[in-house]
This record gives sequence, structure tokens and C-alpha cells, in this order.
Amino acid sequence: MQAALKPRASAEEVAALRAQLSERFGAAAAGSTVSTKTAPPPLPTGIPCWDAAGGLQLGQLTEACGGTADGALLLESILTQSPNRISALVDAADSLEPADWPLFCMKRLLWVRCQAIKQALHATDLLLRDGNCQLLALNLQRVPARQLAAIPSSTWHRFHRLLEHRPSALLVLSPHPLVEGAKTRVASAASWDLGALDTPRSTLLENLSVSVFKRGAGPRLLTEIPVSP
Amino acid sequence: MRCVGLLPFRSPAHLQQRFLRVLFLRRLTQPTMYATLLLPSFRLQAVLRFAPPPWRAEPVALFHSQDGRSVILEVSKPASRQGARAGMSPAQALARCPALKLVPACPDSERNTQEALLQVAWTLSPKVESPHPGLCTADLRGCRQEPNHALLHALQTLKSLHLRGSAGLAPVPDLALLAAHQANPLLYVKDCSAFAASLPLAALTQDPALLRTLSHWGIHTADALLRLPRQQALERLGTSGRALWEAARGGVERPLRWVQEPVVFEESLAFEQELETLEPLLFVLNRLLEALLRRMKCSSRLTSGLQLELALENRSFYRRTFAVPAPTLEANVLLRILETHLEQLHLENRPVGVRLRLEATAEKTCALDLFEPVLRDPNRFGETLARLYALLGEDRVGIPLPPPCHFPDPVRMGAASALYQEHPRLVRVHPPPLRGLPLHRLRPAPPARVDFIHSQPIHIASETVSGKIMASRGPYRLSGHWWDADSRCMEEWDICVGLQKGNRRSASLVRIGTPAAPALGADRNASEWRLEGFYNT
Repeated sequence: MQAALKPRASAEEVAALRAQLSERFGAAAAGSTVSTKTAPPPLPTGIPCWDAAGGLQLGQLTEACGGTADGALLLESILTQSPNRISALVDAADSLEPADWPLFCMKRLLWVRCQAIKQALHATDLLLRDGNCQLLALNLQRVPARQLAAIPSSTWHRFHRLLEHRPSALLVLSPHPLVEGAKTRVASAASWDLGALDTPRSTLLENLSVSVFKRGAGPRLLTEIPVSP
Repeated sequence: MRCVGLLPFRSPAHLQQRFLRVLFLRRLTQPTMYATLLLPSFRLQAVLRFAPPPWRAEPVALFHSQDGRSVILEVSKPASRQGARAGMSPAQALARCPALKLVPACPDSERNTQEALLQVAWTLSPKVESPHPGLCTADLRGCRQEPNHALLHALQTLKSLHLRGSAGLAPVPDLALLAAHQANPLLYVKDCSAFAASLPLAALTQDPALLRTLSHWGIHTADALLRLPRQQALERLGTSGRALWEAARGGVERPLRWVQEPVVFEESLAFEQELETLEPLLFVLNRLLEALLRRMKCSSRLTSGLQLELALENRSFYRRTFAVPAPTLEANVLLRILETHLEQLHLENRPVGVRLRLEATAEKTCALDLFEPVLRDPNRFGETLARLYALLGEDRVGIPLPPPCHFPDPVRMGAASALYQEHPRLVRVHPPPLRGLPLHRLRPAPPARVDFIHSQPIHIASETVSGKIMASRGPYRLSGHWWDADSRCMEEWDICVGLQKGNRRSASLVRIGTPAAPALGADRNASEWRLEGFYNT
């Protein structure tokens, strides 16, 4: 004999039940998926199309791919937007030239000069666990391609997990797409000639062509969606 | 015409005068009250404070050696029950009590324990007298707390500092001391005459001749002394007899000699054996930290720095000072700072003692700037910095500073600790706009072979980049420091190198330079060229 099946509860009933539970037990309501937390506002980047696509999201890993000049210009633009914020730059190849950067945005920048990729990843891990720096940049642009290829994918997954519950943003500057599962990927492809060495920095930023790609949230949306060309 | 219901106008100055008058009258009418905190067997307690608990139940004697002669200074109760006494030689004491443990006197521990006692006494009143170590008398006039409760709390604090004390409360300082000797652990004397009369005369005076005389008279208690005719008795007993008579009547009030010493938070411990591993040292440091932080809490202070001193077996010392980014009273935070450093430390000799000193700072109250991004947890940030220093070295973590001159000198970095120190909000000034692409400098600069034709570079070959030079700008000559031995004259070029990878062609902007600029008209091919850095790849 087949047991009589109870009719399934409608979505409204489930929502009402959850509301009752959360009203009575607050956040401790078991199985409650209603989140009362609001997402922290993203960090402004100063790049119009990137800001239009949501800016630099906190709690997420963002990858900026492109030439060394493009990555440096992007990072400078972000640091210039809010110079009072305490940020950290993990310089995997120890290539930062302080004389070429605006002084006022480096007063609160922690510069970590590494000599090997292993040191850079370890230092990034420490700073992510620390959680005091709202912006953490990992510069891998001058690292040899063989060393970049040797980075295990578990490293990026660990960084994703560390970022999940922290109001920090990790920006990885890489020569080519490298980070697995990056929620946002910024690609820039600019060709510079010697004339760029005399051009004002603001004009260079305006000429920088940036494309922002966002990874879909659903399980089937594995392909990247171009937000703005 | 009458104004009904209106209070007469009083100026603020008038109200202040009236308030002060009320306070003065209240002070005059307030009964005097003194509290004495006493640590029995002070020197022994000081040495055994951080000893394991079983030691307190065993016969222990404190000895002091001088000029090759050792004397027992104090004995514990179990040792006293077995016949050991102060003043004996260690051999005599061991003959009476074979299980006796002998420990040497430690002036450092005594000083630290006395500091701890004073800090607890200062929680009762700022007016504290300490005629000798292990004893403090506080003037409780003006104390808002109930004296009984305040003293019980002070005794609890002493217990948490591993000290066993007793307390006496009386209207006269000398009686408070006598009450502390009789207390278990607290004795409140309300009737001075009755309490003094019940005391044996030996408790009221230390004069043996006077005590002997009174003993011959058959007088053994203060009550019996006070029954004698005052005039005739004082004529026979002299000055010391008059003081004894006053003490037997309940004593006289006298002003206290206040202790006004700088507050020092320090604890030390000598190990029985040399330590081999980190765990026992951390255990000891944790105990010392907990005791120090309790003392600091008594003084309403916060820890702003740590000084660690390890005494090594070769009679040398290892000393290190740590800054605490955010002043705190949490033992875990301070212990983590010590642990992070000690994990990286390798000593040639084993430690035989430890001394820990905390720097105190007043608690800061300030309004938070809602728009100022500050570190969420400065102490954690300090710990992360310590780990980064251990990983990379202290010269590789910091705040980038601009070079002092136009030469590509070694990197200058500011201390990273400036990030969690107070500094005014940065005001964005408008510096001269930067031009050009930022350089990615190669450290150290690799050598490169550059071919010149007609003083123009045409080809470069190096480990990193090789190819035909499509365009170039230069030479840029840098010279300076001609006034000292470090005279330099450099030459730099910005070049665009064409690269070919399979079918893909690209260009790279590079800066090359030579540390010794060739003379005018000289062949540049002979110079030593280096790849200074990349603008773009």
C-alpha cells in the first residue's frame, strides 16, 4: 500500500516559516538562508568602465591581466582613489620603482619585497589572514612564466576561501590569465611606444583600454560574461 | 510685590565655593580609618611565588650567604613545625628537618613582590606608607568604597598574584598593623581601647629590657598595665614606657610617610635547570604575563611595550624590546608577540632565568573618526609584520620612500610600524603631474650587450630581452656627488626593442644604462651596459 504523500509546501509558506524562525531566533535560526548582512561597498578604481561594472569587490579575488605598464597604471589608479586606506603590495619580483609613483598614495602602502614566488605567495597568505589591509595587490608580472605555471591551483582556492569572510580585496596582477575561479578579470591590451614616456600619466590612463569580465554566479554559467568592451 | 516659587540666583562661583565648603566639613567630620596589608614570611613568599604548588606544603627555608657563612632567614610553617628556625645555619636546620629544601634569597623577586604589594595598596588609597617590605598602610579617608569590601578585594587580588596576605582595619595606623598580625585574613578594629587591652605586651613594644621589667612586676597584658597608677608607673618606666602606655591605650594617630615611587611592572624568575625547548619557557612567560597584567589592571594602565631578558648559562643576557601596536591588557596578544619572536630565535646557550618588564601607558580615550580607515586589529597587524620580517627580513618590508637623489640608489624603506602609529589624516596636495610609464626596475640589473652605430643603439642582447632596437631616446646623463669620493657619471637610454615569438611580433620598452658614462666621442660599444628595467613588456 502506498503511503499518502503530503502536499509540498508552497514557496510562500516556506518564506513565512523562515521569517517566523528568523524573527524568533534571529541569525541562529537553523537552515535560515535569509542574510541580514549587506555587502560592503566596492573600492573605486578610477577606471570608468571598471567602476561601472561594480569596481573592485571586497571579499573577492580580482585578476588584472596585461602588460607590466597596464598593471602598474591600474594599480596606481586604484591607490590614488583613496590614499588614506592602508594597502599592501606583495612585489614578487621586487620591481617597484618608488620614484615613479605618486608620493601621497604610498604613505600608507606596505611594500613587501619578495625574491621568489614562494615567498610572495606565503606573504600574501599571511596578509590575507591578517585582514587589516583592505586592498592587497599581488604583482606577478615580472615573474618567469615557468614559475607562474608551477603555482598549484589549490593556492588560488585557498585565497578564495580566505577572502570569503574578510572585507578585503585581492588584486592579482599577472601577464596572462592565471587565477582559477577569479570572480572578476580585467584585461588590458595597450601598445605603448616611446612617446608614452613623455605623456602625462592621466592621459595614459585615459588611453588605457580595459575590458572587465565577470564570472556568472550560477552553476551553469561557467563562461565569462563581458560586461563592457 | 513678592516672587513666589523662584529660587534666588546663584552664580557658578558661589555654587563652587559652597560645594567646596561642604566637602571640607564632610572631611572634618569623617572618621579616620587606616588599613594595613601584611605579607607574612615576605621574603619566602617572594621567592616561592611562581614555584609549583607542592612546594608550598613542603618544608622550605630561605637562606642568605655572606662572607662564606650561611644563615637561615625565614622558614615555612612545615619546616617550623619540624624545628627549623630563622638564625640557624643550614646544617643545623637540616639536622632538625632532613626533608628541608633550601632556597637562596632573591633580591629581585623581593623588589618585584614589594612593587606588586604597593600597586594593590594604591587601589585602596593614594596615601600609602610602607615602613618595610611586605607591609603597607593606607589612609582610607575619602575612600568611597566600604572599607571591608575594598580590603577583601585587595586580598583577593593578592591571592591572584600568588601572595598570601592578611589585613587589619583600625582608626589608628599602629593598631591597624597589630590587627593585620592578628587577622585571618581580615580584622576590623572598632574599639581601639578594648583591642589594645587584649594584646600581649610583646606585641606592643620591641624593647626587651622593658618587657623584662614588666614581667618581673607580673604585668603581661596591656589591660594589666593600664590598671597601674599612670603617674607612678611612667616615672619608673621612662620614655619607652610612656610610648608603651600610649600604645596600650589604643595608640595615637600619626601622619603617614607616603610612598611616591615610579610604577614599575617587572617580574623575574630563575629556573632550577637550564631550559632546552620553547614550551616550558612559554609556560613561564604566560604566568609572568598574567601576574603583570593583573598588577597593571590595578593601576588602570595598558601595556604599550615589552622588554624580555633571558639570562643564559654562560652568564650573558639576551635582551629584546617589543612594541605593542595597540596598548592592551590581553595576555594572549602579548604572549603571541613573544612566541612569534622566540620561534625564530636560536641561542647558543640555554636560558637559566627570565625577566619580563611591561611598559605602561594611560588608557586613551579618543573619538573615532568614522571616515578614517584605521587598522581593525593593530596587534594582529604587528604580529603579521613580525612573521613577514621572519620570512623576508626586516629590510624587505616597509613603506616605500622616494630616493634622496636622481641616482638609482638602493631602495629606501620606512618602518612599517608607522602604519599603526598615530598620524594625521593625509591631505591630498596637488603634486606636479607625473609623466610617462612607471618603470619596473630589475634588482640587480643584469648585464647586457648593446651595439651602437653612429652613437645610436641598434641591437641588444641579454638574458631577459634580445632583439633589434626599433627606436631609442637618449642619452640621458646623470652626474653628481663630485664633491666626495662617490663621484658618479651615468648614462641611460630608453629603447624600444622589437620581439618576435613565432608569428607574433611585439615591442618592449626598456631602460638601459651604464654606470660609467663614456667620454664625449668615445666608443659606447666598449662600455658596460646593464638592463635597468622595463616600462612595458
